[in-house]
Amino acid sequence: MVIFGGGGDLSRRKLIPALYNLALDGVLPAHFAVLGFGRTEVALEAFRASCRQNIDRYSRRPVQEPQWSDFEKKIHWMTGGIGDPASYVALREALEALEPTLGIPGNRVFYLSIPPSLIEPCVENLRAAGLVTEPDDASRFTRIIVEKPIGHDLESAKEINRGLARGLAESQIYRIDHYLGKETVQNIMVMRFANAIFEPLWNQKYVDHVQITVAEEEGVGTRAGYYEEAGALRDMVQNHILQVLCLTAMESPWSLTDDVIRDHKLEVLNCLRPILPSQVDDSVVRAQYGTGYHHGAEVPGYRREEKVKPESTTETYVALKCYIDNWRWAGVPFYIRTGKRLPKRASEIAVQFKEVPPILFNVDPEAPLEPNVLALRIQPDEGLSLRISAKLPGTKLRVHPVKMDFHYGSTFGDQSPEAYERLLLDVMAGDATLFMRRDAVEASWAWIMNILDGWQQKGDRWLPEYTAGSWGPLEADKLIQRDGRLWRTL
Amino acid sequence: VEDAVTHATEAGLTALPAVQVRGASVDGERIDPAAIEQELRRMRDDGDDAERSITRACMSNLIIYCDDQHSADAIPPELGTLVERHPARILLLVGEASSVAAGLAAEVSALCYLGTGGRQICAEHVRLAAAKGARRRLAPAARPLLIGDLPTALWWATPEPPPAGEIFQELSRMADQIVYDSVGWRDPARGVIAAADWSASSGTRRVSDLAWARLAPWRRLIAEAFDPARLPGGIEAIRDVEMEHGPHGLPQAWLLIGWLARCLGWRLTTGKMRPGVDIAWTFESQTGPVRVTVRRLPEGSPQIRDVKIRAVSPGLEMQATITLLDAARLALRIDGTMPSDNVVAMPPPSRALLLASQLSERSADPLFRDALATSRALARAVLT
Repeated sequence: MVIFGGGGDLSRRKLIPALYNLALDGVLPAHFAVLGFGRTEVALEAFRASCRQNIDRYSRRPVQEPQWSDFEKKIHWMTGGIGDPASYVALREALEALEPTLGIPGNRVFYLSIPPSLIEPCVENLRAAGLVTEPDDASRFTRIIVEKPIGHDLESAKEINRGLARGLAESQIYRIDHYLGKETVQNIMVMRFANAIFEPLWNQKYVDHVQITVAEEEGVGTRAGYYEEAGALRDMVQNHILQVLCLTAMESPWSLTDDVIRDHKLEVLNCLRPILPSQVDDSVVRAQYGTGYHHGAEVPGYRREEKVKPESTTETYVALKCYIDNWRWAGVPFYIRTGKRLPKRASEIAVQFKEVPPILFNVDPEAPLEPNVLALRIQPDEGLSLRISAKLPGTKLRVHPVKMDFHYGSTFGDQSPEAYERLLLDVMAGDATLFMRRDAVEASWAWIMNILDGWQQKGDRWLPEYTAGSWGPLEADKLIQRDGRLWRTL
Repeated sequence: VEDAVTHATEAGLTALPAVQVRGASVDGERIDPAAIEQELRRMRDDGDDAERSITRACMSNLIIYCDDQHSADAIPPELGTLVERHPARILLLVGEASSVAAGLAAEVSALCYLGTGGRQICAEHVRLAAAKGARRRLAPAARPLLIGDLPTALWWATPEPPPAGEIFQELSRMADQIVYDSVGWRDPARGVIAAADWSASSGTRRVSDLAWARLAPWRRLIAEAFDPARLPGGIEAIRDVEMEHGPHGLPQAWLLIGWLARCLGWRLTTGKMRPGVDIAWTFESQTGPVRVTVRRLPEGSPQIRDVKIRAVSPGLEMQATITLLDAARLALRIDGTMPSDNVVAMPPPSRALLLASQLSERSADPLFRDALATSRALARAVLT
């Protein structure tokens, strides 16, 4: 595995620790090496030492001997330039020298942890240097992992995809979204299709609405440079949330093979009712966080964050309502919200079922019974809960909502692997189920573009503000309250 | 919290010790909710061993807000009783804690009791205390600690009637139910008007006044005394009501009058206050005028102490007198037609028990809502 941008943040915090954990679990191929590729001149020993430090700091398990000593030998470094063809020739020579000594049969994974603008030149240089095998070569493989964002809009996403396609077959491309590697996201399908009780209710006949929340408690932090250009819609909705929506709403796949599942997810995207630019105000709310409190301490508003323009109109919060126009979900609203500086870090999918009829126990229109809610917590504290009504103990007949809770940690212990562990292993195994296919990326961008176009046409110079540490702006509350519903408290 | 532990132990309960939250210094600038959750989990895990198993019980989130450390210190001894009746995650917020030098301080503990089969059942308790000037930080610090999918109640444990400033607004927005206690309000007339106006605009949220909950035995005895099956025409013949209450008990007396007036269809005509003597109102019923007089006793407990209701009509003359004999008993004496003399037990309802009973109710209480609306009219009549 070659990591372009091997000295970067992602490599240090996630990729190297993930590989180390895979090694600890004994699931890395015996014949394996990881080679960091970057501009910095680093001695191999220094690079290995920094990897050790980063594992101690970021890995879910600390460095252990003697496993570290074994793993350390698999780490290599090469200095080179992404845009420099000669570096790729040198890379090929280095790999060709390294592989036989480690018994690696020529299978190569290139992780492109680099800016989107460098993806195409990188792929071109790989191909030109003879580092890309043919997709139908049965003796060895070449696979490329590309990170989000795949583009800034539909056109740039297509451009990136075209660039990738010039050098690679679609089967060689793995567009990673680490969200899809999380245990609970994978558990959506298990929960739906490995249990008999949920799927019969999973449709417009029984479901009142679905809420998907991805809440972050941190502000923009050191990512202002990227975030100013992206905003919450591009950063979260276009990729993570739409992928989660697809898993939640897709039809039952007839097989677990990657393309079958990806076909079913694509169908959901194709059924998403477009929010036309003229409808954006009715269905989408965007806002920026203002001054407020985080963990009890005062924090600045977005426009006063470092490296953020004082007149910025980048949204740090988005709430929207959408519909999936198919037989299963006809008329069922899906409410989505995501934002920074919300009260807590929490991501969940909540399926709220329809109310029981207004007879017997649900007769007070001023205090209707709380509807059943199935909530799948993605992070933190992965698990699921089901809200049901129960009789309160006592002589009076009183009904109270109670929560049946399943925590991954309590049941299985602290065994969940990091998302990147699963995803890197899948790439090595050639399983693309949890990776985005080109058509899905472009379909999700196509849907998002209507909203972006609507915003652009409006040309707002001011966005609604929400207090840092609150659950979002009043406008978002109104968006859902108009339908007689409320955002959930997470 | 130490008091709560002591109280729990005295009451035969067990308690896990209070602990400072790691990562949140006593006078720290940051209170990390994740650290608090982690500490709560750790406490559960530490107490859960082979010999005893801990069941975490939680029906609701309960936010308790106190203005200062003195009033907050009175709360923990009541929590053992409360969680035994209504297990909840309790967030005790202290507006100005003299023990906190700057920012916020957090402390977590578990209140535990032995359930059937020797199970140890525990409820979580988080105390967030603000230094002087840091009160505004409490609501944002409390918000991430609420458990989703469970009802949230706010116990507004201050002598200020709702709505009382920004912190009340912020906290009440998190709650499905708001509980306050009108006993002890400094300006009862304006307090009742403010609370009634706010309550009328509070939508579907349940609003409860512990003073109203304390009236339940009084209302029951009045209803029994004038039960039409026992005393036909008695209700219609009521002409005079006299009530005595202790210091700071005026809103409770008004609630009882409001309840009577709404139930019996009386229409308020005049109100007059004689400072230091009494307050009198005149109502118009279907059968004639009704005079209601409320007198404040100079000392003693703040609640209603005595109610006399006289009914007069051709062929009927009676007086029902309900008297608070002591903290645990009420006496009902009827003079005139069908005289009787009974004493009934009135188990002294602690705040914790009253609160627990309110938390278990989900529907709005229309009787209270109507009584409060009439109280408002009584207050306005006096003020104008």
